[in-house]
Amino acid sequence: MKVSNHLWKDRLNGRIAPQLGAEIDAYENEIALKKQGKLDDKVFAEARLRRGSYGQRYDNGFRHDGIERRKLGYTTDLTKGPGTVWDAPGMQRIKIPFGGLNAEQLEAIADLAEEYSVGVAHITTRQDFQLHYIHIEDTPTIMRRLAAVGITTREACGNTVRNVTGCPLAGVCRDQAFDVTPYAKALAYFLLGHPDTQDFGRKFKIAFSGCDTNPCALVHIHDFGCIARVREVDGQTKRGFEVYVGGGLGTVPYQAKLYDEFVSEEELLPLAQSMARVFARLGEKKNRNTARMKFLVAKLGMEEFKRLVNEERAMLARDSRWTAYIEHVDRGSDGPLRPAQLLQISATEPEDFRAWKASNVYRQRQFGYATVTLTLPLGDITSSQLRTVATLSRKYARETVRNTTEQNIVLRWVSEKDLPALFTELKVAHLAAPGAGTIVDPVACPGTDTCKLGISSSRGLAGELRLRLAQSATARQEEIRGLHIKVSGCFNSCGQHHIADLGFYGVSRTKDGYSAPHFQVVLGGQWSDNAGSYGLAIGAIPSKRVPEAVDRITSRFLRERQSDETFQAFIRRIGKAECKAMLDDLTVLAPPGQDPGAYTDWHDVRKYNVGDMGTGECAGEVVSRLDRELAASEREAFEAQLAEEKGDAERAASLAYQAMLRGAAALLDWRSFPVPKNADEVVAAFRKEFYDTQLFFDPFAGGKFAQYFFGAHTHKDEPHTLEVSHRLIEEAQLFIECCHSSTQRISSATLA
Amino acid sequence: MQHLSVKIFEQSGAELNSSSAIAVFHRWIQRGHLKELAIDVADYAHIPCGPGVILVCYDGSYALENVGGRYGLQYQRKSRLDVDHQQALRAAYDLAVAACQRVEGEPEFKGHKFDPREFSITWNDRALYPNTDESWAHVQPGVATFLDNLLGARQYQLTRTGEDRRERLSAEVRETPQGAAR
Repeated sequence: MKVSNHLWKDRLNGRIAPQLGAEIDAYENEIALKKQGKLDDKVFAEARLRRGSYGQRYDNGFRHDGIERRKLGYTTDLTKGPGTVWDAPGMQRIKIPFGGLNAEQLEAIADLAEEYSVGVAHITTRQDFQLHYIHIEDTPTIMRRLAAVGITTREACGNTVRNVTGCPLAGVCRDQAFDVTPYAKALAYFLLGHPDTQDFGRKFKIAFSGCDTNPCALVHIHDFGCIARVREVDGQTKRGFEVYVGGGLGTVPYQAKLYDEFVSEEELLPLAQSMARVFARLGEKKNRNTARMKFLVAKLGMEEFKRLVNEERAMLARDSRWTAYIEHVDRGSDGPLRPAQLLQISATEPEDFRAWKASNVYRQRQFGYATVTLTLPLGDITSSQLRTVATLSRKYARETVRNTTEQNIVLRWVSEKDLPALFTELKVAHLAAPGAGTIVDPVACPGTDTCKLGISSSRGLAGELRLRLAQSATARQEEIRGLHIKVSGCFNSCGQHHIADLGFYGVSRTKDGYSAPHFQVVLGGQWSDNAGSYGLAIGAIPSKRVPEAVDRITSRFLRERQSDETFQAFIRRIGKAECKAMLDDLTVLAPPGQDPGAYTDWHDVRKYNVGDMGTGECAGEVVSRLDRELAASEREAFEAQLAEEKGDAERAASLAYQAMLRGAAALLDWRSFPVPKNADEVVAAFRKEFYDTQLFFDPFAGGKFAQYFFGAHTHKDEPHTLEVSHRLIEEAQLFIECCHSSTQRISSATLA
Repeated sequence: MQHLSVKIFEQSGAELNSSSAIAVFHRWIQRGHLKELAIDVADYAHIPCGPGVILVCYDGSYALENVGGRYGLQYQRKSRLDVDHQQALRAAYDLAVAACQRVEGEPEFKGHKFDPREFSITWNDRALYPNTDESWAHVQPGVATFLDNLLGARQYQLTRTGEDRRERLSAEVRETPQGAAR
C-alpha cells in the first residue's frame, strides 16, 4: 500500500463533499477496526462491497500454478471477509452513472490506475470503471481522490442499486424521444444511499434508453428499465417512460415485463422508490439465488406486484427531489465547444480514416456534429491514453465523454470538420482502431483473469477472436461485420452472452481424468430492440476450437443468407438441430496425449486445473460411464430446445425435466448409490446424497442448481407456457453443467 | 523514497513476444525463481504500447512491456521500503537488472539484450513526488549520487522526462560514450 495515503486526506480537504468525506472516514475506521480484530468478517465484507471494493481471484490465499495448488505465502493471517486474505490484491469498482465523465475525472482515474493498479483501467458492461490488483488499505485514499472530482464508489457492489446505465448517445441520438440523461442522473443520485434501498436481498439494476429499437441501454435485461416516451395529454406534450421490471441475465435470464406504458416524468422517482420499498420488504433475503427482483415479480405476478407498489406509493410522503430537477432538463446534458461545420469530402481521403469513419463515427441529430467511438481492446485503456482522451475532450468538445455498455468510450459533440485532425491525434495514442461495435470488437467479462467465479478465460478467447477476425476476409463482409460477440467466463452472464449474435460462456469438461476449458455456444440472442430476446446454448466446444466454430458459423451465414435475412432469422430458419450438427465435430475433446493444447486455456501455459487429479484406470472407466449419461442428459436438453423451437412448450418442459432427472440418476450411479426407478425416489435419493451433504453445491452459487431440479420435479405436472419451458431448458443446462463440475470437485477431493 | 519504478530498455529493438513472456513468468512462479511472493501473471499485451505482460508480486511487479513504444523490463515497487533514497533506488534497480538477466537466460528470449546502463526511473506517487521543478530538485542529488556510484561521476546523462504536471515525475539515464569506454 502507499505510504502517502495519509497525505491525501489533508490535501483534499475542502474539495470533497462533506457527506462523501464522512462516509469515507467511516469506511477507513471500519478498516482500522477490522485490523484490530473488532469487526466480524461478514460485516466487513459487506461494508467494503458497498464501497465497491471487491474480491479478486486467488484472494483465498491459494493458487494452482499448473503443477499443484499452492498456498500463497502472505505473512498476515488477517482477513477482509470469509476466506479472503487481507493482503491479497482486490478490485475497486468505480460507479460512473450513465457512463458520463469529464476531463478531470478521466485524469483522476488515470492517476489512480497508475499509482495503485497496473496502469490500466477497465470499462465494464455497466459503464463502470474497474481497477485491479488494489490493496484494501489503499481504497479509502482512492475513494477520496475520486470524491474530489465528484465520483463515488458507494454502492458499486453489494446488495444495492448498482450503476444506473444509460444510452451513451442520449441527447445526440437521431432516434430518441428525448434526452434521458437528466432523468438517469436524478434517479441515480436520488437512490444513492437512500434509506429505502439499504435492505435489499440482492442487487438492483436500472437502465434508461431514449428509444425502444437501439440496444445502447439494454433495458430488457434490467430490474427497472425505462424507455423515453412522449404523449399528448390535454393538448400538451408530456414526457414520460415506458417502464419494464423484473428483467435480468444471471444464470437464467428473464426478459423484463411491461409495468406501465407511460409513467410521467413527475412519477418516475416516486415509482422507483415505491418499487425499492416493495423489493426491500418482500424480496428474498436468505437464498440469494432467488433474491433478484425478477423472482419477486414472477412469484407475486404483475398485478399483485403493481398493487403493492401502488400501496407503497400512496403512503410516501412527498419529497421535493422527485421533481426539483425537472425544470432543468431542457438545458441539455451537454453541448458543443466548436462551431458546427461539415466535413469536406476529399477524393484522397486516407483508407484508414475512411474505415474508421464508417464504423466509429455517428452523425448526431444536431447538424454538423458527430459522436466518435474509441475502440478499446477488451475494454482496457491505459493511464496515458486516458489523459489523451481528457486532452482531446477539452480541445474538440466540451469534455463530453461517456463509457459505453460495449466497453468503449465515446466523445460527443465533435464538429465534423474536426474529424480528420481528431483521428490523427487518436492514432498517435493508438485509440483510432476501427470496428467499434462490430464483430472485431468483442465484449468480455474479466473471467479467469481476475474473477473468482471464472471457469474459462473469456478475455483470452475474446482477445484471440479479436486478432483473428481482424485478419479474416469473412469478417470484413458487410453481413458479418455487424454481428456481436460476447463472452462470459462462467454462467453468470457478466459478458452478456445471452444477448449476442454469437455468445459464449465458460464451462469445463473432463477426459481421462484431465479437465479442459470449454465454452458453451449460445446462438440466437438479440442485441437490438434493447436486448429483445435471449439465445440458448447449443453445445460445449473446447476453448481452443471456438475460433473455428465462429469461422464456420459466419461463413455459413454468409453463404446461405437469404436476401436481407438477419443472423437471428438465419439461425431460426436453419434450426438448432442443424446449428448443433454444424458444430458437432468441434465438440470432440481429443485425449490429452493427442492434443495437450486443449488442456490449457488461452494465453495461459498452465495445465487447466488438473495438476492434483489422478488418472487411474478404474476412475477412468467410471468417469467414462458418467460422461455417457451426462452426454445423454445434454442431448435431452438440446431436444427440449428443438421442441421449444416448434412451439411445443409441454414437450420442451418435459424433456428439460427428464434431462435433469437423468443427470441426477447418473450422479447417484457414479457414486455407487442404488438408482431408483421412480422419479420421486430419484429426487429423494439425490436430495439426501448430494444436496443435504452439499456435494452438489457450487462454490459460489450454493445449492441453486439442485433447487432448479427440485422445482422442475414439483411442478412437472402443471401446464407450461413457452416462457416457462424456455427457463426450464436454461435451468436444465445449468444443472447438467453442475453435474460436470461437481464430479470434478468430488474426484479432486477424493484424490487429494 | 517509496514506490519507485525502474525500466531497463531492451537493446535489440525486437519485439518482446507476449506468449513467451506469459510462459516465462508462469515458469518463474512454478519454480519459485523469485525470493518475493509472486501472485499471478496478467496479460495486457492486447493494448498497443501498453504494460504488456505483468508478473504481479506482493512487493512489486515485473512487466515485459512496450510503454512509449519502447520495449523493456519494468520493476515497480508497490509495498513500503524503509530505507533511504539511494538504497531504495538501488533496491529497485537491482531487482530490475536481476530480472533482465534472468529473462536473457530464458530460451524464449534468446538474442534479447537489456542494457543496465540505459534505463528510466519513475516516482510512482504524486503526493510525495509531484512532477514539479521542486520535486526534481529534491530528488536529483540522491539520484546523482546513486548514478555516480553505479556508472562513475560524469559518465552518464540524466534527463528529466517531460514537465506535464499530470504525468509522474520521471527521468531517463544513459551512459555517455566516456562512461561506455571505461
